Amino acid sequence: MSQAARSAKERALQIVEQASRIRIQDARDNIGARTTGRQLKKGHNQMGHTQGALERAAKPPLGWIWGDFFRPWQRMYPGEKLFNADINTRREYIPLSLVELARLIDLGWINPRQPIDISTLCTTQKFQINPKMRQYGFDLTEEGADSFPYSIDIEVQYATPSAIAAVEKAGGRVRTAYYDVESLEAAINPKCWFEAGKVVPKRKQPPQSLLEYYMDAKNRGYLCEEQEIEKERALSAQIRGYTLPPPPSSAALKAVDQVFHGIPSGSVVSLADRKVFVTKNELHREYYSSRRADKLYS
Amino acid sequence: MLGKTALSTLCASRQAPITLAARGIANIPAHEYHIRFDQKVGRKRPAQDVLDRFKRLNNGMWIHAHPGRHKLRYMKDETWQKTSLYYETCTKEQCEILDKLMTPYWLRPKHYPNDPYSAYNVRHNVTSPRVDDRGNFVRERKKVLMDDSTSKRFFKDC
Repeated sequence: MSQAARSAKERALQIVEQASRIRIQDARDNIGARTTGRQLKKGHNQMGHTQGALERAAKPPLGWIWGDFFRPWQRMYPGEKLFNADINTRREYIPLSLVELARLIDLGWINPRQPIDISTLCTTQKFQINPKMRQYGFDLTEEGADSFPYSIDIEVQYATPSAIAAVEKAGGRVRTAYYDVESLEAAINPKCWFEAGKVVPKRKQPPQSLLEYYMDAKNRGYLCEEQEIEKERALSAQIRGYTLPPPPSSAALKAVDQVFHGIPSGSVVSLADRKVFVTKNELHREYYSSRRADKLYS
Repeated sequence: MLGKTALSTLCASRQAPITLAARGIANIPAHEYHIRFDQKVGRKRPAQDVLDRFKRLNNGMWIHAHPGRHKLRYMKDETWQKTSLYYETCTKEQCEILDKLMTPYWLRPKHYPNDPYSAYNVRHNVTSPRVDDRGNFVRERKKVLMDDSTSKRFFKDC
């Protein structure tokens, strides 16, 4: 009863009265809280003037020159910023040559009548893309460009002009498109993404350094107008000296923010029910719409 | 008077010079060392000295710049002026030491579009075996579903 009757001030004063005086020992660490460094003994620093001293002396680290104990040879060269300084910002692509692509189609790993994109190529499990290691897709190279026989509809992230010309000479179509990291993870393993119940992401705009590449019709970027691409197509055929085959009965291209063919952004795919659930909320629908920016600015 | 003297004494003692420790093996800083297991991360750390000064090509060669190439250029002859701007390859022992100082991320072959070193990532007319003891290609990149004759015909890195 007297406990409840006392005020907070009296209880605090009683606690302070019963506490011991603060000593310097109270500010120390607990026993074993810190580990001391290795104790340097006299023999550890011996250069080795005799054979026995050489055998017993502490061995230097890798690269250190015997006799000059504090200067490794890998520090005798000047630094170069071109070597490894931009490793965190540089984008790596998986090389995909035309002869490898023809081989995959020959052996039945890829159906040439359907559009080929990252999901198609990664489903074959012949390529591994790790977005966490800044690998951003496929680079279509021109090995085997002289004898590429298939008329394909392919979407890659980077393509050389020779590879583009080879595919178009065979009657195919090339588009270069940018995938951000989230869309890339969804496109690499769609089964894992759908089983996790995640929303099909909206493919984001390329960064400023890549915007110029994907807006250029020479690279067949996905941000170009179709008329410009047709002009560049005819111009490329004229320059390289081949006759352009009749344009293919083209399937619909993906939208600029679409990851999978036929599945709109913002939907949820259920593999067990074999259904695609599209969003009904107007706010979500507006977010995943490709005309969102116009609406915001108007 | 007494308070001022005490304050000046405290300030003087506060600014006493710190004795620099002599450098031994245990005092080598972390960016120069060959760290097999970092105690914070639990994994190997690459030597930052190597990353600043060397570059690894895809065939395992390491290149470095010339020492002293920006110093006293006006006093040197024309051959040196030209060849000092080249990058040089390391010897076999140096390449092995540099590989040990790196983590597997940096030893991985990388493919960049429009790489200025793309012509040097492969080595031509080398008669040593194409594969190592695990069956991986030593000098060229891995191809998909490709036999040797087709690879020799279409690719230039064999």
